[in-house]
Amino acid sequence: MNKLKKFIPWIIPVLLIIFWQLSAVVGILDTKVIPSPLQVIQQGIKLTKNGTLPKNIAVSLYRATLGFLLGGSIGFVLGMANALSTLSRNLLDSTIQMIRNIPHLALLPLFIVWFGIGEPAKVYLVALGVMFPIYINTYNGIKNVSPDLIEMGQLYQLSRSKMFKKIIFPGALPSILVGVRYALGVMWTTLIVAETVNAKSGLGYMATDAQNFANTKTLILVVVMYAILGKLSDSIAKFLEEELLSWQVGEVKA
Amino acid sequence: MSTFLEAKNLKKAYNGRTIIDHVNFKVETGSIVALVGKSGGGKSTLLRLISGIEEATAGELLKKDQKFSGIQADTRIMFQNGRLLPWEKVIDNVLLVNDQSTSQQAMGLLKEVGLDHLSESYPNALSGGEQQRVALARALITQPELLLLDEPLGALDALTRRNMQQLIVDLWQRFKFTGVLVTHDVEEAVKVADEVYVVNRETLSEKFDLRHLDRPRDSTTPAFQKVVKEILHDITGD
Amino acid sequence: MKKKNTFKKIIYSLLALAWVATAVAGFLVLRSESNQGSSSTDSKNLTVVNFGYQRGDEADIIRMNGQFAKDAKKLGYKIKWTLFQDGTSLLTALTSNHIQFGRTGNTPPVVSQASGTNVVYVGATTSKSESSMILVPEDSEISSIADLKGKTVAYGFGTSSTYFLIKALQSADLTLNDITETNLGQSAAATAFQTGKVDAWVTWDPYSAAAEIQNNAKVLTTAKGYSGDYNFFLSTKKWASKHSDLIDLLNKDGKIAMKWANNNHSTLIKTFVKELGLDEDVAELQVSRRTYGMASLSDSTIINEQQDIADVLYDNDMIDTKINVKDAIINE
Repeated sequence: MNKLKKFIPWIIPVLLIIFWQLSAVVGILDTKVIPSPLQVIQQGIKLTKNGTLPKNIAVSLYRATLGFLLGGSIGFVLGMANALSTLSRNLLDSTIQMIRNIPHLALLPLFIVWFGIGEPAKVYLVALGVMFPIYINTYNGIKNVSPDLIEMGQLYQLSRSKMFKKIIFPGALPSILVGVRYALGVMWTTLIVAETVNAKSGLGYMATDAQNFANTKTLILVVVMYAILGKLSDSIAKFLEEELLSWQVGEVKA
Repeated sequence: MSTFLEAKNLKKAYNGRTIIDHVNFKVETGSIVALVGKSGGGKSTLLRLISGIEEATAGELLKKDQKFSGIQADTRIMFQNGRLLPWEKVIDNVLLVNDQSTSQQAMGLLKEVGLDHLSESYPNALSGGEQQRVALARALITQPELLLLDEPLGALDALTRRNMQQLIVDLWQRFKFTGVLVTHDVEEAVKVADEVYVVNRETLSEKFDLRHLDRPRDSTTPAFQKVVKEILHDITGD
Repeated sequence: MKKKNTFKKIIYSLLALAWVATAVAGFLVLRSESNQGSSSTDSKNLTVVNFGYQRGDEADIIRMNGQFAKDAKKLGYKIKWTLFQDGTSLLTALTSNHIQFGRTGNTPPVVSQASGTNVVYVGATTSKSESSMILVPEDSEISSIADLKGKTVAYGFGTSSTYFLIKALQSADLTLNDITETNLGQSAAATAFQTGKVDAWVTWDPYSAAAEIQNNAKVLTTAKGYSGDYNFFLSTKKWASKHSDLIDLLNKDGKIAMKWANNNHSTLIKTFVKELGLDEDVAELQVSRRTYGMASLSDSTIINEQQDIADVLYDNDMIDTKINVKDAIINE
C-alpha cells in the first residue's frame, strides 16, 4: 500500500492531461486556440530535434542560476550581517524593507534603462527578486536561533567562529532553506518576465516569439517547460533540505 | 580544607529591583553545596553570577582567594534542559566544547554516564534523562574545577531523578570537582550536598551542614528526614 | 531504507549535475551569440552603432538590403542590429543610450518628446496608411464609422492606432468616449478578435492581413484620409549632432533599400514568411499593398501631422505636456 502512496500526488495532473487530450480528440477543444497535449509533445520533440528547445532551456537556466547565486549571496550576507550586528541592522534594514515593497517586476523597464538591453539587466532583476526571501529567512533564522543554545555556547566559551559554525548557522539553516525554496519560485517567475523584453534567446523569448506568431503550440510548450523546471528545482531543494536537516527525524512535529 | 569559591556581599538588581543582596558564603574545595528556596527567590540568579554570564551589581566573587568576573574556563554549567545541539550526534555534542579532547575520551565519559551505546544517535532520539546525561558528559569532559547545576533534574520523572542524583554523586566522587547545585527539591539537596543554603528573602537565610549524614545518603533514616524538615521549615516558615 | 536513500541521493546528484552542465552550456551559447559578426572585421577602429528595429519594418529592410551597413563601415561605423518587440521599449533603450538609432511608428516619438527626453527625428518614410486599418468580424453589422458608437474597439494604446482611431471617430462626430476601448497588444488583440470578444480592431499589417485572410475580417476603413501613418527613424540629440554623416548615409541608402524592396517582392515575401512566421498568402497581401519609400523631414505634411498627433494626444489627456514637434527635428 505504501508503494501506491507515492503516486497519489500525480493523480490530478494525469487526469487533467487525459481530460485535456480527450476533449481535443472529441472536438470540444478548438485546437487552433489551445492545442492538445499530444500536439504540444510533438512540438516539443520537433524543437528538441532542431536544437531550439535545448538551447533556450540552457540559456534560461544559465540566467536563472546566475541571478540566483548573485541575489542569494547578497541576501545571505545582508541577512547575516543585520542579524548579528545592531549597527548593520540600523543602517540597512529600513532601506532593504523599502526596496522590498516595490514589486520588482515593475522595475524591469528601469533596469533596462540603467543596465541596457543585454544580459546584465535580466540577471540583476532575477537577483533582486531572489534576494529578499533569502535575506528575510536568513535574518529570521539567525535571530530565532534558540537563545538557550547561544547562551550555552557563551558559557562554554566557544570562539566566535565556532559559535557561528556549530550553533548559529545550523540553527538558522531550516529557515534559510525555506527561503531558498521560495526564492527558487521567484527566480523562475522573474526570469519569465525579464526574458520577454529585449531577449534573443531563452524560454521567455520563445514564449514572446510564439505569441507574436500566434504559435500556441510553442507557447503551451514553454509554459509546460517552466512548470517542469520549477518542479525540478523545488524537488532538488527539498531533497537538499531533507539531507541537511536529517537530524530533525524523530522530532515531534505539529 | 581550602576555600574554593567565596562570595562577599553579593548583590544583584535589575532595573532597580533587587533580586539578592548581602550574600556571603564560602564553598570548600571538593564539596558540593546546594541552594534551595522558593521559586523566583534568586537561587538561579546567584548561580548565573557565579558562572560569570551575568555581573553582580555589587560585591565580589573569589576563586581560590582571587577576585574574578566573567566566564571562566575552569567552570562548567548544566541546565534544566540539556541544551544539546540537535543537529550534532551525541558524541559530537560531548566534543563540542574542547578541541583537545579525543573521541576516545568522549566515549570514556559517555561510558561513565552509561550512554556509550547511543554515541552515534541524535539528541532527538534520546529521552530527557538521557539528554541530561549527555549534558553531564559534555560538562565534565574538560575536567572543570567547578561544576554548576541549575535545576538539572527538574524536568525528569521521579525514578529518573533518583538515578541521576546517584549518578551525580558518583561522578563527583570520581572526578572530585567542586559543585554548586540549585534545586527546588529539598530531599535532593540533602541527598547530594555537603552543605545546604536556603535562599530566602533576597539573601541566604540559613546554612545547613550535612556532613554528619553518611554517604550514600539514605532518605529513610530519621536523621535525614529531620534535616529535610528543618530546611523546609526555614523555607516556608518565616 | 538506506538503499532507497542512496538511490535518491544518486538521482538528485545527477540532476544537480545536469543542471550545472546545462547552465554552463547556456553561458557558452550566449557567449557565442554575442561574438557573432564581430569576427571577420577589424572592429578596433570602428565605432559600434546599435540600430533598433522591429520585424518587417523599414529598418529591417535596410538591414536585409545590406547597403547601409556596408557603406557605414567605410565611414568607420559598425552597425549592430537589435530586435525589439515594440516601439516603446525601443525608445526606452534609445533614450537611455543603449542604442543609437531606431525605427518606430508616429506616436512613440511624440510621447517620448512630451516626457522630456532627448529623442530626435533623423529620417522618415512614406505613408503606410493603406497598411493600417480598422477591422470588423466577417458577420459584423458595423458598416460605417458611425456604427462604432457604443461598441468595443481593441487597439494598442500609445501606438499609431490611437491617432488614427481618434481622427476616424472625429469624421463621424464621435469621440473616444462614444466607444468602449480595450487596450490590447497585437497578439492578444488577434485572439480577442478571432474569438469575437471585441467588435472592432484597429491594427496594421501583417496583423490585419492575417485577420483578413484567416478570419475573413472586413476592412471598415484604412487609415487613408485619417492619418498618413508615417514611420520615423530616430536618434538622440547629442549623438545625432555628432554623427550627421551617418544620418545622411541612412537617408541616402535608405532610398536604395526601399527601391530594392519594391523591386524584389518575392524575396521580401520569402523573408517575411521566414522571419515573421507568416503564411505565404498573408505575406503576399502585406507586400502587395505597400510601396516602400523614404520621405523628407522638411515635408510640411509630415511635420504638421506629427504636431497634430501631439496636440490631439494632449487634448485627450494622454500626454501632459504641450510640445513643439519641430524642436525634435534635426535640421540639416
